[in-house]
Amino acid sequence: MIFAEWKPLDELIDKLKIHRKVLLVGCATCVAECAAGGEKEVETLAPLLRMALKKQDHSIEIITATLEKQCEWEFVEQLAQQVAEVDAIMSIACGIGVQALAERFDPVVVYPGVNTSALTIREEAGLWAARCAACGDCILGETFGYCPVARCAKSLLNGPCGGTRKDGKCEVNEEVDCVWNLIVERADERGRLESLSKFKKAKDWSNSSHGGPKRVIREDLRQ
Amino acid sequence: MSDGNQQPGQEPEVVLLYCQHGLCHEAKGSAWYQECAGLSIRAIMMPCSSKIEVSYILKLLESGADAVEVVACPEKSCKYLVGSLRAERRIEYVRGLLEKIGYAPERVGISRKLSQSPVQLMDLARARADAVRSFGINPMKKGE
Repeated sequence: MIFAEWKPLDELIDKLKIHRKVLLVGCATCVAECAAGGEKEVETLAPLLRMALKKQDHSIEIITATLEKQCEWEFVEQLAQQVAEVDAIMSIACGIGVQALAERFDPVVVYPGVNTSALTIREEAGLWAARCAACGDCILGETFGYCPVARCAKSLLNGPCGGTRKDGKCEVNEEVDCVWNLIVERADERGRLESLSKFKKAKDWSNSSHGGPKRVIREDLRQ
Repeated sequence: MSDGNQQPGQEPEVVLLYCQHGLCHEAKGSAWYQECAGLSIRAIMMPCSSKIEVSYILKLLESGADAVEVVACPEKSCKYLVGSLRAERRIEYVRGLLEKIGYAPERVGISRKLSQSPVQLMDLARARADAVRSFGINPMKKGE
């Protein structure tokens, strides 16, 4: 899922205090899974902001909504009536949702309420960890299902580095497994260690952000 | 430290959220909470303290409660095993949020108790009132 976290409350309060009426919008998809921007979080952040603003003597009305997906125009359209009443929007969806609202409801100002930071899996309750870096040239088939781009602190493609700890943890964070240690162990378990010694073509980064902003056209889906 | 307006003589309004197992057997089914009438205590029974969400607590404070006291079962006594533990973690989270926006975290508290009599429950609410009295009334009441 796309992972996001609330921005510091001071920053959010500072943005809102110049407005009269604000729409706080959540998204019931990825950011709900990571407990940052779903309906629960909207209903938590709204009273918190109202309390903070009231304490600072700012009289601001905050109304709320949560869309099923803030990155799909059909759902975004559902906000039209509420947006007509407000002079600002704060979105706690990922950056895609924020931009969708900014594009559809221009010139109403749209503030991001979260920082979007990673593509993660929920390893256990309350613990998320990066699993994908959207690098555009997936090598998981060669690395036994572990992604070194997302999970190695140095994104090494020829690890492990010299900093792996004796217990197989990363030198950067003792609570994180060295992903290259995991790759080597799994290769060994499957009797395929030699596959890691083969020369590989240089990774093609052009299909990710290195190739400029991503834009994909599928003629079979176009109208 | 004060996060609100000092109003001498004004009794803090406390919302008491208690797990159904926090009430003694004899008082179950009785309308004991009517004893709170006329006091600044509002008692609300929950099926389990884990049903308490962070947003519920904040909405109570937003609507003007001066303090919220949650009564959860002691560790290992929770009928749903980890319900009271979850409640405790959520209360800690709320307290952290309150601190960040300049509210006294003491406005929210949790007690781990079982089979309390109505008098004992009201004493817990009064103890929470005592804990917040020095902070003044909830700033949300300003300009009411």
